[in-house]
Amino acid sequence: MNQITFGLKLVFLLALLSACTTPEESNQRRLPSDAEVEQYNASVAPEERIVCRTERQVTSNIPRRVCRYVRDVQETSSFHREQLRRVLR
Amino acid sequence: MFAAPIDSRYSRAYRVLGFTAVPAYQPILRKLLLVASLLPWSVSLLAEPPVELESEAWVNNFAQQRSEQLISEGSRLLQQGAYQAAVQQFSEAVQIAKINNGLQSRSQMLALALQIEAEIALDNWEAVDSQLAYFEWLNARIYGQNFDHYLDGAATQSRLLLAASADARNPVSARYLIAAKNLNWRTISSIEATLGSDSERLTPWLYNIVLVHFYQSALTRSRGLTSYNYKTDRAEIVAGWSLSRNESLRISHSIGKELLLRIQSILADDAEAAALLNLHLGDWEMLFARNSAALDYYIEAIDKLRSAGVDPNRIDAFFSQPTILPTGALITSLPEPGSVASTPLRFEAWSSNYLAAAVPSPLRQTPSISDAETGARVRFNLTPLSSNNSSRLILALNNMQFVDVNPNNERIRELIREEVGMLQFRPRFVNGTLASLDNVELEYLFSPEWNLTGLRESNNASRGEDNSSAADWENTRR
Repeated sequence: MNQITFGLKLVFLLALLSACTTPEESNQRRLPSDAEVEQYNASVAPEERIVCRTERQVTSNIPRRVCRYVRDVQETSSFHREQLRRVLR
Repeated sequence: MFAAPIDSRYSRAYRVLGFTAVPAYQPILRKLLLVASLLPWSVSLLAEPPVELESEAWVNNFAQQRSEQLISEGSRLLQQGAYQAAVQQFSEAVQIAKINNGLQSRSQMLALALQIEAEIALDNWEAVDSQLAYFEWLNARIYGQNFDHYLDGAATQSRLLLAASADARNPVSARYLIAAKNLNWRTISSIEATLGSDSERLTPWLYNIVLVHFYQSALTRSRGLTSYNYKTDRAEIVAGWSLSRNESLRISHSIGKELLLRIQSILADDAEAAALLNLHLGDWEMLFARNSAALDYYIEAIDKLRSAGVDPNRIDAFFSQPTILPTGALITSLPEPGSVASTPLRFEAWSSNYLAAAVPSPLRQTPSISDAETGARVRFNLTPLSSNNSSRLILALNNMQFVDVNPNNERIRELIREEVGMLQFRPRFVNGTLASLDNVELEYLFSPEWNLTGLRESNNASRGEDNSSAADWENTRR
């Protein structure tokens, strides 16, 4: 009986571990390190620069590294500001 | 107008020749007579000595000597503090170099660098910006001609950018620091493209960036400013992105560590150098108050040095030398047993912009910024704290005594206590265990602007004057 319980626990544990690994993550490209980002940013125009940071997504509590163009960040930021202004009017 | 005298001359000639009437062959004869009458005058004119023009001191802009004279004179003026006059000399030297050797010649770079130095001293930031841009453009032309010259030019430009960033009156000093860092990165990219990504020539440039991150972290800690990476290496301000202080410090720490590990992998064939990179990694962790990681790296460095066959006594002797962090240059071999570090330890504070940072090695050669006079010689002990101590420091600086103070007043003593307390020292190890460093003697020199404000303030305070320190500074600097 104990062996069956142990076996069930093991199967459950394996299932739990495998659930953490999705095909999307396994095929994910390696994101650039902080030094690589800095080296890249030093050679391109300001609007072409990228920023990478670790963020917690809304749907998950696991921190993930995300990279964006500075221009996209700025556009999103100004868009949200505009939306907020519109709502507050 | 000339008809009458010529006619009278003809008439006189006819009379001399015995004619009474004008002959039929008059036109030809007229011409002959005209030539004959003008001949003596022409001869006399040719016989006269040439008229000397008013002599003028013409400058020969093609003379190499002239350029050298101007640079020499400009350097003298720079040392004397006559910056505007120095700028004129260097500017002329640049123009002469262009005339002599071509518009894109490297020969103008020496005078140009000196001119930028003088402009920095004058706080003429607009001129500094345009000349630095020209310097970089010129150096980019040199890249295709001679790679070594290109690297020399990049090193000079990096030095100038750091000098500009250290000026406490520069309203955008951080922009120059980031510009220096970006320049170092671009140079690394060019070395990778030319010599390969595992070239040993990358190592000093990689270490330069490590140091810039230390300066950047000092700036972030003292001012709480962030996001220089994305905002301020250009003139225009780009809004929309910022980093918290902690995140900025984390990134600086992460990049510094990554670069030191990369240097270690480049120098992996040299066991001693690779071991000493562990030492640098320990230093880096110490600077970011990650003491546990620092201790691990130090102990690993000692183990690796022993494995590399280095005499343990030599290792202990090396760690017995007090060292202020970070070291100005990369250490890739242990010093020879005879070459002991100079006593006392000397620290030249660089700038009030970068607290607890020494003047960078390339800037020590610049006469205009290394003339610090105000400071003190102090003696103290560095005692290791037990590992279970909750304090973030590994070493405690205690029992500080003043050996010599210049000028000798309480204000200076107070400042010295404060600034020496901010310095980070490498811990001492004996047989692989932490040990105390007693009677460390340190000669501490204030940064140039402290020489002006600090000294004035303290003197005024002692005289009971109530002057604005900013106004004093302005008056003193000018």
